Amino acid sequence: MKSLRSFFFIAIFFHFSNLYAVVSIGGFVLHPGTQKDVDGARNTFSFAPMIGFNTVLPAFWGQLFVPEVGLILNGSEADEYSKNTLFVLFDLGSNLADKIIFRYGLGWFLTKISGNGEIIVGDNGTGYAPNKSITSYNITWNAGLEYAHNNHYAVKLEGYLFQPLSSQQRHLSYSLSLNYYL
Amino acid sequence: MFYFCKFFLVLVVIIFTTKIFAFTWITPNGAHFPVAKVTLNVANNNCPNAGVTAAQLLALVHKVPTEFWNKVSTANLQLVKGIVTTASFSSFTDGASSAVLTQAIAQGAANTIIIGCSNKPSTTFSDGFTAAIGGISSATDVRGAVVLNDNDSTFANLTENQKVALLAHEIGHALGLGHSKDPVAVMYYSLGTKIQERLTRDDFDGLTSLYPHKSPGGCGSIAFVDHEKPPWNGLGSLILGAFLAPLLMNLVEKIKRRTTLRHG
Repeated sequence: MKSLRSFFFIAIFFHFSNLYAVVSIGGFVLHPGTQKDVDGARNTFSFAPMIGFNTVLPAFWGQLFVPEVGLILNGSEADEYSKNTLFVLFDLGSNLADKIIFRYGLGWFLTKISGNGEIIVGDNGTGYAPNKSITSYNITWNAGLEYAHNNHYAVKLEGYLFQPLSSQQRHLSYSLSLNYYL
Repeated sequence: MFYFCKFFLVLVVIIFTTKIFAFTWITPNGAHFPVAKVTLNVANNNCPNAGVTAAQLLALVHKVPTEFWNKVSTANLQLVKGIVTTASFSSFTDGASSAVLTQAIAQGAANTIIIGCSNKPSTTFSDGFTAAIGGISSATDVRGAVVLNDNDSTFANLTENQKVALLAHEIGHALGLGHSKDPVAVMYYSLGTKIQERLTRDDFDGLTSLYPHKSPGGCGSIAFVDHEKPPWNGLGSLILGAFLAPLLMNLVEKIKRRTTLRHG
């Protein structure tokens, strides 16, 4: 609930801070290198739903400052725990071509895992669901492209490099979203 | 507009095919190591029936961090490859699985996981585990252990990938994770015939719940009291990113200028 509150607080701030507010909805692939099937296949295209709010502000050297706050809803299917990811992007944008904006910057990801602490009797032994909410924080390096279809709609594909300086933990997540310019 | 509707239809179909997650903790309060670096050591006795020498077991154990648990970017944990160390896993007096684990944990040291084999269990441990067991103790300091059953040839008959996956599962227990209901997860109770070459999202979430990255940039706060400062995360990464951003902007400007010259 705390991440939901933070999300709406920042979203409302974005909305009233600038006329060029943007709503984005789409899918987010977190940890695409993880296994999804017994035959060893990966989660390369397993999108989790996301909603985000942008704003567009003029920045230096002809760049745009396009911060975004978003929420990924990726774990409510489980009985034992829920998982939400709140992210705040501090992106800059630059016009690469007529309708294409190159976005890049830093991101702040908050992964929140909550459980009810119940005892879970499994196929082989007993385990325990988390009995509290745990939040893990990550800084990411982002880069992506946004294609403006017309004055109101744009499609954004962006990659997020987690743990960029750690050779073992480094991995790329990505999102595909439709942005609606108000 | 038609294309956008189509795009969302495809997206919704993909969204509703997501998997059920269900990791558990091994103890109600989530016993875990209080440090970000945990060393994996191997006991120095050979395991003839399990089909490995101490040196071969160490080589298998060394694959577990790089192929499995050290890949979790949302977790503040790094498994460190250890050494073959002196321990007497062959002198255990009680063959019950909990007793075997207790005796193995006593051979280890704080903030380490010791892995070895014992011929004390008859064919199975008392509660039916055949090949291996793993666990964690936070009685005094925090330490973990994994014991292979050397009275059983199950481990010897596995392929190398299966051996590494089995060790990853038991080391997961030694890190504080219980069994998962997700049949694809490393922490599912049975390896069966599945190909287990990497962690699932459920394994990621389980490890993250026990070893989260604490708040970066918490200057003056007490956020890092029970964990070491996350490696390569937080303020350092932010500062480096801030230095790289202007360089990247400069590069974009140059590309734009060249494109304009070409078209102009």
